[in-house]
Amino acid sequence: MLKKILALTFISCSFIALQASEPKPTESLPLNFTINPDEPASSTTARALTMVVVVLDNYHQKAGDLAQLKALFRNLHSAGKFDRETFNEEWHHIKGLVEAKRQTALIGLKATIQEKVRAEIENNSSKAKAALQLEYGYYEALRVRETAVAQLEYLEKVL
Amino acid sequence: MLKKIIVTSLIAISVISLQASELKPTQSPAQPTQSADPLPFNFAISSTETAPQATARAMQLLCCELRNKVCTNSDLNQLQLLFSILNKREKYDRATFNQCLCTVKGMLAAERRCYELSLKAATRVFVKASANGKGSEMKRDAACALTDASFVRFKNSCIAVEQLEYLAKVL
Repeated sequence: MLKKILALTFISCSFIALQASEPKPTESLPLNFTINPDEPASSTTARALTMVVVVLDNYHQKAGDLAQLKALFRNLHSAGKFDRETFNEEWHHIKGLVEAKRQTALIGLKATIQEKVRAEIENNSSKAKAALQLEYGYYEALRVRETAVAQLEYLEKVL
Repeated sequence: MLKKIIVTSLIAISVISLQASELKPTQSPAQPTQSADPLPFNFAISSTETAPQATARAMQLLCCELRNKVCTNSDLNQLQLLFSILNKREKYDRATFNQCLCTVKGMLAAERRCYELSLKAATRVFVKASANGKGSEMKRDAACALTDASFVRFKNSCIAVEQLEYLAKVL
């Protein structure tokens, strides 16, 4: 009888230990984001905010990326992994980053346009052509940054 | 007797398969009332198109309208009407609209900056050439023409940005 009890206890203990050693399941979320139950809310929120930067920085954004970001933060909220303090703090950093990138593109564009206008007025076609090509690159960069600013404004309203 | 049963069965099977292979009569050929009234800007809504696809197309049209010309009040009303029809026909997707709106905003803002910088640069050269007096007439005239052209483009771009802001509020 004692042997049986000991055997049963051993089996149940082994089973519990096996369950504990198994990796905890992570929840799959939009943009392949995963929530780790052991991770504190502040860290999860900070990780989710890096996704915002990744999406906004992408020159070839896909349709629905913005909606996915929105959905991701909603999921964080409902999972109790959203930390408002971290969000507000990091949000300022993201805004600063986007604005700095926008200004950089703007300064590049300004210098290029000045060169192009000078070349056009001086009738220097090869210089004007080179400046025009450079201008296109800066214009694309500025377009992406301006879009990012608009998207941040939108996200700020809805998150 | 057996032969009769087999023959009857064969005939029955042939008739059934013949009936099955016949083309079923088509339902009403055209989608009723779908294209009864033409949509603004001759926008066509396809029944197979999803709401995000239709919304993205409509936003593309909106972007072209704002960029390619100075829209009148009537144009803006037509755009509003188009989106309300899309909504009624369940071909309007808010998420797609929001994403496209940000993209169009970014594009128009970048364009406005571009024209603003061109105007500034051309004006600066014009002022310099004008101040230099004799010997700089050609340069001044070229800068003047460029300033005029840049001004028109910048002004139209500013109007487009304002109109987009208005549409973003009402749509």
